[in-house]
Amino acid sequence: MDRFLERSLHHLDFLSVIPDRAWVDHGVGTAQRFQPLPISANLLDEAARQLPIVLHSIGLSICSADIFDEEYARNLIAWADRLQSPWISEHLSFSRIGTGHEVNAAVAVPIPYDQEVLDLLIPRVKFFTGVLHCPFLLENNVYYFRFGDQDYSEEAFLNELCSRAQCGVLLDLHNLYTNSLNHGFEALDYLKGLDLANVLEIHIAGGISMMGFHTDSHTGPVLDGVWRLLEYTVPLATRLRGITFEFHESTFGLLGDSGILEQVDRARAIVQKFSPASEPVSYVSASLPASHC
Amino acid sequence: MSLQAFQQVIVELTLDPGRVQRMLQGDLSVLDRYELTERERKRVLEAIRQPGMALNCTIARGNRFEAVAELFPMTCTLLKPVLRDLLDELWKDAPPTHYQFAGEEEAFMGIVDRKIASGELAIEYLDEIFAYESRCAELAQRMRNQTATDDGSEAIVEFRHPPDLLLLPLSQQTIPPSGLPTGVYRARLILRGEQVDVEMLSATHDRPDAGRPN
Repeated sequence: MDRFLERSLHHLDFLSVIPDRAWVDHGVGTAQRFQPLPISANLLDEAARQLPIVLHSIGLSICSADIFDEEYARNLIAWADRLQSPWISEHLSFSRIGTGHEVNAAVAVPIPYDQEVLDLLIPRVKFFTGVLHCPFLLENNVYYFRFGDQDYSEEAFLNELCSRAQCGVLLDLHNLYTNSLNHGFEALDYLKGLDLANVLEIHIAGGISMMGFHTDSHTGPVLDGVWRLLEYTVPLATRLRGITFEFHESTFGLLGDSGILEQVDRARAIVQKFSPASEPVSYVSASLPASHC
Repeated sequence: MSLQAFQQVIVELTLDPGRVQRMLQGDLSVLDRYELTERERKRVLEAIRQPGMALNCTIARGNRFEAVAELFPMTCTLLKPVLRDLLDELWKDAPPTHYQFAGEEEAFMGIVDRKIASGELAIEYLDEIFAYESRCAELAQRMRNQTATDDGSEAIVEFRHPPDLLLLPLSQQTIPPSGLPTGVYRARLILRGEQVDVEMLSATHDRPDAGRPN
C-alpha cells in the first residue's frame, strides 16, 4: 500500500484513510491510551503535506447503547485537527458492547431505525459537530439481516439525524447496492427518499457473491450497477465534496495500480460531466499498511 | 437498558453461530436472561430466521480470523484440515474484546504452541513454520514501533528442512511435499517494509541414514 501511495498520490485529489490502523489503542482508561504507530503516522503526515487527508474511522461504534467512548472521540478529533482533515466520518452501526469488559462483534452490526436510537445518537453526533473544525459524516451501513417494524426507514432516519444534529452523510453506494440486491428493494427509491443535499462524500466499491448474497468485500472493480447509481446521485448531491473508491489490499492483485486508478478516473469523469466548472473531485480510499510479514 | 440488552443478544448471536442454530431448533431459553421488549424479542427471532444471519456470523469469524491469518498464513495453510476445530476451541467462550483485535495473535500462538508441545498437532513441518512465522510476527511488531522503514530488522531462525522447499509452496498456500531432506538450516530473516527476505547462512544436511525426526 505504501508503495502504491508513493506512485499514485499525485493522481488523487485527497486520500481517505482508516486512522485506527495508525495507532495502537491500549484500552479505555489507560494512560497514553492511543499510541501512534510511527511508520503509519509518519506516512500520513507526509501524505498530508501533499493532499487533504480524510479520516474514516471504524472503532468508535457510535451506535452502541452502553458505550460512548469519549476518549476515542477526542483522539479522533485531535487527529483530524493535526491533519487538518476536510471532514471525518464513522459508520451508522455498532460493534462494541459492554462497559468494563468489552466485547467486539467483529463486524458492523445494523441498528433498528427507531426514535430511541435517534435520541441516543443526536448528542453523540453533536459532541463532534460542536468542536470539530470540519464536517462529521455518518455512513449508511451494509447489512445482511434486517429488523422489522422500525420507526423510520434508513433514509428518513438519516434525514432526521442530519437535520437535528447538523452532521452530513457519507453515502456508500456499494452498501446501498448490496442491500438492495440482498433485500429486494429499489436503490433509486432509497435515493429519492434521502436528502441528497446532506451527502458530502460518496463511497464506491466492488464486491463478490458469497453464501447466496452479494457482499461488501471491497474487492475488484466498481460494479456497473454502482456506476449507474453514481451517475444518478452526483448531479443531485449539491454539496458533494468527494468520491472515494474503497478497495481491499487484495485488489492490487486483481486490478494492479492502473486498474485502481481507472476507477478513480471514471469517477472523476462522472463528476466533471455533471459539474464541469467545479473543482475536480475524485478520490481513492486506502487502508494504511499494517507492516506485517 | 432494553436497547442495551437487545444489542447484546445480537452481538452474542453474531459471535456464536451454534447458538443461532440452537434457537432455530426451538431452544429459546437463551433469550430468557435478557430484558427485551416484545418488539425486540420479535426482531431477534426474525433476524435469526433470515439467511443473512449466517453470513453475518461468517463475516465476523472471517474478520476475527484475518488478524491471525495475516501474521500466520503458512501456519494456517498447514493447519487447514483442523483449523476450524482449532478456532472453535480457541474462541469458545472467548469473544473478541477489542476493535483492533488486540490479544488475538497471542491467544492463537498460545494454543498452537501448547498443542505442538503436547503432540496434539503432529503435522509435518508445522513446528518450524510456526516458529518462523512467530519470529516474523515479532519482527513486524518491532518494526511497527520503529520510526524508519529501512533499518533492516533482523532475526536468525533455524529450520530442519531446506527453507526454500518449505516457504515457496507455502507462500502459494500449497503444502510442501512430504519427506523433504533434513538437516540444520540457519537463515537470517530481514524485514523490509511488509516483506520478509530469507537469507541462508549455513546448511548442514543430514546423512540419509541419520534418521532425524521431522
